[in-house]
Amino acid sequence: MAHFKDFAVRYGMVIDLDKCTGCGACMMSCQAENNVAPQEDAGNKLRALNWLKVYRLSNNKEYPEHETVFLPRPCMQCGNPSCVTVCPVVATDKNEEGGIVSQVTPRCIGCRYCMASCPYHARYFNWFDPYWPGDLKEALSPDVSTRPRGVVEKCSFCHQRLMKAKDKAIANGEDPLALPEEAYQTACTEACPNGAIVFGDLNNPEHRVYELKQSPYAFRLLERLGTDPQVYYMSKREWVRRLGDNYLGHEETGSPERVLLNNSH
Amino acid sequence: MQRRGFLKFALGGTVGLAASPAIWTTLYDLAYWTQNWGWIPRLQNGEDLSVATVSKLDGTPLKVRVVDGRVINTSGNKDNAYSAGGLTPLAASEAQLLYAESRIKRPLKRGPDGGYAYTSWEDAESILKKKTRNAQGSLAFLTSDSSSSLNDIFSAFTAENGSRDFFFMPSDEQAAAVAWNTVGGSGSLGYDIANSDCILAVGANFMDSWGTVAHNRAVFKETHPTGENAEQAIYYAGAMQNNTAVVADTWLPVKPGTEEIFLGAVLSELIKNNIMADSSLSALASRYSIEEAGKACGTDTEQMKKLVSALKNANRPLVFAGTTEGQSLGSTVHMLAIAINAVLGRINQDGGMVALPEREPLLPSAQRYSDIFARNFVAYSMQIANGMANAPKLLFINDANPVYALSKDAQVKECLAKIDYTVCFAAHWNETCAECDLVLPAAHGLERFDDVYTPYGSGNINWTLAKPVTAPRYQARPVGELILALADELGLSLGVNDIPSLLEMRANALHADFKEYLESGDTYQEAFHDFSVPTLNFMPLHSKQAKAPLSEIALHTYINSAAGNPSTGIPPYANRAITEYQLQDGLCVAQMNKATAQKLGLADKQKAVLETKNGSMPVLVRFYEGVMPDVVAVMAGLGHTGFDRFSVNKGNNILEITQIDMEAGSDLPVWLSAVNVVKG
Repeated sequence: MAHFKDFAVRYGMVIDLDKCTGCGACMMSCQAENNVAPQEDAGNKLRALNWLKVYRLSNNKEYPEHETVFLPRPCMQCGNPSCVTVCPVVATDKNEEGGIVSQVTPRCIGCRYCMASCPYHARYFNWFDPYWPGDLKEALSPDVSTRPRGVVEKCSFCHQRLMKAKDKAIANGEDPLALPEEAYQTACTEACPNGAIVFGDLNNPEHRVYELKQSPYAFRLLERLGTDPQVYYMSKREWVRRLGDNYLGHEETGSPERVLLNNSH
Repeated sequence: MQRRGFLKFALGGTVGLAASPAIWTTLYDLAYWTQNWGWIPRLQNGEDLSVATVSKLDGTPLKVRVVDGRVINTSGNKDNAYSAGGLTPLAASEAQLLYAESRIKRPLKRGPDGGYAYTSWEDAESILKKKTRNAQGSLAFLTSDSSSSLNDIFSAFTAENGSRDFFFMPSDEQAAAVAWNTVGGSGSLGYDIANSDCILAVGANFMDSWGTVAHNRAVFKETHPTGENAEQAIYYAGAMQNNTAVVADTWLPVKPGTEEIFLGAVLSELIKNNIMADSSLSALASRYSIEEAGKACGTDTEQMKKLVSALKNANRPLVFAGTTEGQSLGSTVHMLAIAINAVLGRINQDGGMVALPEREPLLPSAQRYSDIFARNFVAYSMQIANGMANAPKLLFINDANPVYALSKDAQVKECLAKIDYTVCFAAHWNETCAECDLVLPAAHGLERFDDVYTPYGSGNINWTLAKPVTAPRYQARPVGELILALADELGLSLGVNDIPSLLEMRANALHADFKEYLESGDTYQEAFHDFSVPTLNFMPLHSKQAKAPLSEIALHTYINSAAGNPSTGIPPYANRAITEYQLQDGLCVAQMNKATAQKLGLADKQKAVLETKNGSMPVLVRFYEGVMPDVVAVMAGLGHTGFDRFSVNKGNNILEITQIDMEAGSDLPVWLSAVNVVKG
C-alpha cells in the first residue's frame, strides 16, 4: 500500500518487549510531560485516558507453561493513518517532516470517528473536565496546552520536544532535518530505566532504530492492515510476535512481504 | 403548504445548509472558542531551570525541571553514572506529590473529642519542648528511611534524651543485617549486581521494589543491550511472574514460606555437584534435597538442577533473597543465601556478596546501624500493646506509616494508644497521622537537604546529595532542622548546627567534594576493595528448624511501585498505572491460577471474600496462570483511608490482615499468611 505521504524524516520507536518489566515509569513521565489530567478513578478502563498504556500479554498457556510480557502502546504514528482520513475537520493530520500524526485539539469536534478507525485504541476521548485539584496546576508544563472535555487526544511523540530540538538546531546553524539521535527523545524513552524503548529517525542509518527495525525479531502491530506503523516491537519469543497480528495457524510471523514470500515458496 | 411543497422545502433547506460554509464555520468556531474559556488551566511560562538532586522516595538520581520557581516534572539524571539516566515510576511522581492535596499544611493538634484543629508552630514547638523534657529516658523514635544521614541526628537526639529506642520500619535490610551479624560477618551486607554474570534472586523483586532499583535497572540496560545477546543471566524464584520474573531468563515458582527449603536444596545440590564446603555446611546441606524441595516449594526439580548447574558454571554468580514489598522473611533465608555465596567462593568478590564498611555515625551520640537493627519495631509494638514492656511517654514517628503498613498482629494502634503522647512528622496526611496527638507538616524531599548514603542493595559505598529545589510549601519544615532546633531549646548538643553542615561532614568522611556533588547531583562511588575472605560461622543455622510449608493456600502480596508507598499514598497520575488485574470495580483483585480457583470452587471475575486469620475483605477473582498453584496474589498499597481523592475508595488494605510470626532466635517478624477465598 502506498504511503500516505513520503517523508525524509520518519520518527519511530523500537520497543524491546523482552526488556520491559511493565513498571509504568513511561506512563508516569508521559502524563507529566504532556499535561494529561489526573483521574481519581482510572479503574473504569472505558473512561480512562492514556496517551501511553502498558498492556499485559499472555501466551495463554496454563501454569507452568505460562509466560507474561508487557507491551507499552503509544500512538503508532501510522504511515497510512486511518484516523486522518476519517476526520471531518482536519483536526488530525500527517503533514510534517518527522511523520508524526498531529492532533489539533482546538479543531476537534469530538465526533470520535478517529477513535473508531484506529485499530490500536491509541486515541482517547476526554469524557471529563480536566481537573488538577489543589495546587497540582503548579506542576503543569508550559509546553503543552491543556485539553478540555469533549475532544480526542493521543500521544504526539512529545512533539514539543521536536520543536525545541529543531529550534536549537536552527539557532546553531545545523540542519533541523538531520538531528542527532540524542537531540530529540520522547519522555517515555528517557524514563525507561531498562532501555526497552529506542527512539529515532527510522530513515537515518545513524540512528539505532534504523538497524533495530530490520531485526528478524522486529514486528509491528496489525501490520498486515497496511497502516505502516512507525512503532516497531521486538521479541525473541515467537508467541509474542504472533500476538502482533491475526495470524492463521499456518502463517508465519513477519512483514506482509515476508509472509507472501514464504507462502510462494 | 402542500405535503409535496413541505418536502421540497425541507430537502432544499438540508442541502442548502450542508453546502453552505456557515454551519461548518460555526461548528469550528464553537469548538475553537469554547476551548479558550477559563475552565482549562492557562499555562505559565518563566525562567526554565534543570536542577539535579535525588529522589528521597527510592534513591533515584533526578533532574528536576523548575519553571518560574514551580516544580514541573522530574526526569532521570543522564549525567549520573549510577543510574544511567533511568527513572522509576515513583520518582517520576515527585512533582505531583509535592503539590498533592494530601500535603499537611499546618501543625494539627488532636483535641479531647479526638478531632484535629490547626495550631501554630509556636504552640507545636512549645508542646514538643514540654513533652520531650517530661519524657526524659522514655522517648522512642520510629523512621523508615535507613539511607539518610539525618538518622544520625534522630538517633543522637533519642540517645541524648536518655533512650536507645530508635527504630526503623521492618525491612529486608534489617533481616539481612541480623543474618550477617549472626554468621559473624562484619560491616554491612552488599550485593555487587553490576559485576555479576549470573544472578539468583529469591523473592527479591530487584527490578522493581527491592534494593537500589534505579541502579539495578541501569545494570540491566547495560547487560541486556537491545538487539544483542545478554551478558548477565537472571533467575528469579518467587510465587508469581512479577516485574523481575518477566525479564528473567528463568522463573522458578516457589511457594511463599518455603524460600528456606528452596535455598537449602540449592546449597545441598551444589555440594552434591562437587562444590567444596566445610563440614558444618555439608552437614547442614544434608538436611535438604532437591526432591523434597520440589514437593514443598512446588518447583520443578529439573529446573532447579539447571539453576544449580548455571550457578556452578558461571564466572561471577550472586545469590540473594528478599521480599517484593520490602517486609521481612526473617534471618534464616539470608543466612542460607550467604552460605550459598560462601560455598561458591563469592563472598567479597567482584560480582558477589560483599561486606561493605558499616555506615559510620557522624555524631558522637548517634547509634550504630548494627545496634539499631538489633531492635525491631514489631516486637516493641507487640510488647507494649500486651503490657510486657513499659510504654514510652513520647513517640516520634517520622516519614513512616506503621498503622497502614503493618499487620493487625503488630498491634500498632493498641501500642500508640498506650503511649502518653505521639507526634507524627509527615508530608502527607496518612493513616498513622490519624492516630497521633500532634501532626506536624514535614518538608517534601524536593524541599529539603538530605542524602542517600549506601542504600540497602548497594554493591559499593555510594552517596548522593538531595537539595531543596523549591522552598517548603505551606508551613512545612524539614524534620532534621526541627529536631536540631528542639535539641537546642532543650540545651542538648548533638554536635552539628544545621543539615548542610551534617552533610558536609559526610562528604568529608568520604573525602568527597561537598560543593561539587551538591552542584552536579552525581553519585559519589567508592569501588569495593576489601577482597579478604571473612571467616563465617554457620553453626547458628544448625539450630534452626526449617519451617513446615503451609498446607493451605498461601497469600502472596506484591506492590505496584508506581502506586506509591505507605508514606506517599497513590500519586495522582498513578491511578492509570493500576491495572484491571489489580483493582476492578472498586475491589482488590485476587489473582490465582485456574487450578487453585477450581480447588476453591471459584470462577473468573467472580466476587468473593478473602479470609486470613486476621480478618477478611471483599475481592474480585481473576485467573492468571502466572501465579503458581495454591497461591493467591493480591496487590498491597490499596485501601487507604488517609491521603487524598487519588488514594481513597480503592479496595482494601491487604497488609492489615496479613499474618506475622516472630522468628525463633532472632525475634524478627516473618510475614506468612494462610488464606482462604470463598464465594462472596
